[in-house]
Amino acid sequence: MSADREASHDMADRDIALLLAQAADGVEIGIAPTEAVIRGGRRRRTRRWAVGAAVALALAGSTGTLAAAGLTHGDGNGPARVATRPPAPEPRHVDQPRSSALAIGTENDKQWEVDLDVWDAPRDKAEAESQFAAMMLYGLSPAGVSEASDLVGKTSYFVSRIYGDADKARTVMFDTVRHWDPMAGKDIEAGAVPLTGKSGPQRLVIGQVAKTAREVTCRWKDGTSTAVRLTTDPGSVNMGDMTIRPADGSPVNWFVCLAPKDTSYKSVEVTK
Amino acid sequence: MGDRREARDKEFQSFVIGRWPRLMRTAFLLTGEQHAAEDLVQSTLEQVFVAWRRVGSADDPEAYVRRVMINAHARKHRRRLREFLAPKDDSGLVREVADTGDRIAQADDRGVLLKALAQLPLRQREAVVLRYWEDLTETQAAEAMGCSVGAVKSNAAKGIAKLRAIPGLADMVTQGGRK
Repeated sequence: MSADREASHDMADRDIALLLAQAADGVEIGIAPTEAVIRGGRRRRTRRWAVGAAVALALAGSTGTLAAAGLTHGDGNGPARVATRPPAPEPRHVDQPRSSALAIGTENDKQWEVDLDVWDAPRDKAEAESQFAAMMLYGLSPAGVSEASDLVGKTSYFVSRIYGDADKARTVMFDTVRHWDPMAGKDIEAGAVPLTGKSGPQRLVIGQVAKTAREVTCRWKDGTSTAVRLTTDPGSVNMGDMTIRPADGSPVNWFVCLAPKDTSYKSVEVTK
Repeated sequence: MGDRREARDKEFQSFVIGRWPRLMRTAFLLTGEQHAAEDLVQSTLEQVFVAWRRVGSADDPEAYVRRVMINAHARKHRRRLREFLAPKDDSGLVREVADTGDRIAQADDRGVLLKALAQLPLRQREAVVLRYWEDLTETQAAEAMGCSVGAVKSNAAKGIAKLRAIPGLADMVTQGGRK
């Protein structure tokens, strides 16, 4: 292509951009329906919780009544509805993760939060490329993955910590696995990280345990300890509650412990 | 937790108010219809709300929103195709426009362009809108479309070529628009 022709194409492309701008002006913008958007967003979140509860029901082999009792998710919409028939297959979360809050608290008048994001396993290379690109948008680098196709057939999870409004989510624990390690009895996999920043005392302990674990005890360097117990309300996370809880998309339960100020992590174990 | 949720909702509301006009224009070019554009933007933002805890603190929330919108548009497009349209090959636009060229030439500029855009294959339309209206780089457009940079180049080039092949639009391009 000659330089003249190249320049001519550039000009034509700019003109098409101008035509697109003119055409876009033809839409009536109106007032942004923020309330309707938020209501719709809450309904979508409610549906996700309802499906999550149905999965828990299948795992527990329990009754519909029990599952419905645990479905208040604390967003002001009241109890979520649960289908009495088996739910339709849930859409997979390849491009967007399933997100769950594991714990929320305050310290020094700032709020902190620990979240878990689980990305479903892509079935083929096209899905893997799509997921890889979406993870890049989040600024996430999956473990042991050098190219998108490495993600095929593997589930990825990322635990992030947020401290204060200005703090961006920091990934503190992550893995990409073909199968989650089965956990039973007193199996535990945990890590300790600072509550704020990248350095400082390791006061925040985050980990995975078997679904059957009912109590985890975190021991601190000053000789004290904190016991966290299985939540009785898996649908909501209350400020300051440290519990063992299920998370959307995860076959194991999760817990968070926070050490008192001026001490830090020494050890952790499943005690019941 | 209530205070935090309230703060997050306010932050999200500000985001929606600030981005609504731009998103509406992009959605209008993608869908070609006022109500479809409103539906697309609203359902996109509902999905963004669900993930706002993470998206709001991301470096580039716009990129996430674009990706959700393109995905949502593709899903709606596939559903509409199944419901209403007979299979159509890639060359449908040129053939159809040639048959109705006189009428298109008489339509206003917006109508001509919207009709032409609407008849582009989905991925070409997305590539043209993202590259030439949103003014994204090829890399940014590839992120939004969940495809390679090469696929963006190819789809944008084919889309532009088809737009240029339309007699009415070619005149407008030459004159930089009639209005």
